[in-house]
Amino acid sequence: MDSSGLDSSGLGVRRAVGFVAPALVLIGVFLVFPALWTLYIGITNYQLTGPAAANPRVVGLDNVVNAVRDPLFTNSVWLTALFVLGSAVIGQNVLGFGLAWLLRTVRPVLRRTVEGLVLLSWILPGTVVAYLWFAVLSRDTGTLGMLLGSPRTAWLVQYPMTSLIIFNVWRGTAFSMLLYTSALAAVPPSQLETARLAGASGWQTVRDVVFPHIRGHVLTNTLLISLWTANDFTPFLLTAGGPNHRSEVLPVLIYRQALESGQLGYASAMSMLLLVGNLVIALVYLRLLRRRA
Amino acid sequence: MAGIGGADTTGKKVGWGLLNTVVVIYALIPVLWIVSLSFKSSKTLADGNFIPREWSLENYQNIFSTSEFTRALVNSIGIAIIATAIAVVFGTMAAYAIARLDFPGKNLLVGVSLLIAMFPQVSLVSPLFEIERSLGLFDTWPGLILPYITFALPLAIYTLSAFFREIPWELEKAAKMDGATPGQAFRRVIAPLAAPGVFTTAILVFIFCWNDFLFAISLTSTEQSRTVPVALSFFTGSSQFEDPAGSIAAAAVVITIPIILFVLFFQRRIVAGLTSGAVKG
Repeated sequence: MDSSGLDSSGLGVRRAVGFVAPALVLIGVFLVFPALWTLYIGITNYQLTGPAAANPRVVGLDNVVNAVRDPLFTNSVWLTALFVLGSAVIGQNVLGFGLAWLLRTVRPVLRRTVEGLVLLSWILPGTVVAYLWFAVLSRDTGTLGMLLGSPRTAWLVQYPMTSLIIFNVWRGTAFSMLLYTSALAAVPPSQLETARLAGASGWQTVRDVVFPHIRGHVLTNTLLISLWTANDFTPFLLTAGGPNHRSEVLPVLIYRQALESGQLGYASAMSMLLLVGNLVIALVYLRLLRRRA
Repeated sequence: MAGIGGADTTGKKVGWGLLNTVVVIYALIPVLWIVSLSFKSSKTLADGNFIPREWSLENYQNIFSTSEFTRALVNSIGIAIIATAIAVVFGTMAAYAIARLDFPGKNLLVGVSLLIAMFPQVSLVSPLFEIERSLGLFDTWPGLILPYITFALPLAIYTLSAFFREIPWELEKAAKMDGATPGQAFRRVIAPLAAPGVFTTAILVFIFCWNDFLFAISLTSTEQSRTVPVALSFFTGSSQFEDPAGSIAAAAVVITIPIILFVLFFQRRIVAGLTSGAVKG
């Protein structure tokens, strides 16, 4: 009888391994192996062309040291931090929660419409939305310029980072909104009612009644959107890092170093550093989550 | 605010104002603006009018008359469908084993697949480029299908496991007690219960493959396997001095149609799929 608890579907354990194997093989060949390769070429001077392409030399941690000293890299780290903080941690989180909170009580039709529209901006192809924003923000014919009555502003050139942050808030809010909508559904209505009768303001209710219930969701959401934003490549489509590196977030810098300059070794070392950054964010999150328990 | 602070009318007004603004911004920018651009003739393209002064199908005729676009459309559809089918089959098998069976390293597997899902895509571009060049996969269909499957798998496994955990597996046992074979129990009882989760995952995987730009631009070099999102960025207009904006808008509308249909028909499913892992996990 006990074995049926273990294996109630009638599959043998060996067959179970067979079920997992195809997925594992693919992940091994096309994810883990390239990842290890990235780690390896990160310590060489490997290049796409030239003498170092044929005979890459192991240079140890030189690439990492060079990156840390490279003003382009440090600039890029700051821009990425700004991008993540401004558009994900603050922008998407706050707007997503605000929308979820407002949509709680409105009619289902309106709620589904807003949800659908926000969702659409999230899952439309990156090239399409980038092109759209290009059209909206462009200098001579841009929609925004016309609406604001200042048709000569080249938004993407004059305010590249601000434009990227606003763009990413617009694009990414859907996930936060949907997650908070389902989180808010779990807050007991009786407690909200009590707060209302006690005369609590909207903000007090959110802080003292709602937040303790959804703390885990806030953390999960912040982690996911931070990582997605840090790894996001869409800025390349909007500004390609320019003008003059002023919007060159890390994924864009890595891509340009690897495939435009051909510095594969150097680019790999920088992606390693990006990965370390991701891990640090994830660890901080896990610690915060554990403190709750 | 609305609903809670019953007497708080200014808060309510601000809330409604915000909501209206959001609806207008989200609706105006994504769909309507490109649709409008795509129907403008080349003369009125840059006039900035929101509603085209003269409607024309010129742009659509242009893109469908070039192999640059039609070939890319065929590539996009083929690659996304094949990759989705394989990823869902492999993902379902793995998630099924994870949900039903205890085997050593099971939790580790879920943890690792989550970790891998967080990998910056861009950091794997150069090794994949090298691997594919040496295997002869560069600029071929399998050269895109294989990385898509791989990148979709961790997410698929994670989402599907969350769905499979919810299935009342005792029903299977009950069916067997009533005399069903394991095969029948699976087909008649479990498969219908699992279908919505599998379907939702398939939609999400398809959207990921359909939208990808980074792999598609780094692992292809010719029309042979270039997908629409990349082909868009190579558009130059039908003559050298023509503004390609109209063609790009028309092509953008064409690749947006399936996504809009998905959202229209499966909105609830997509929402469930997106939040299931994060909320329940």
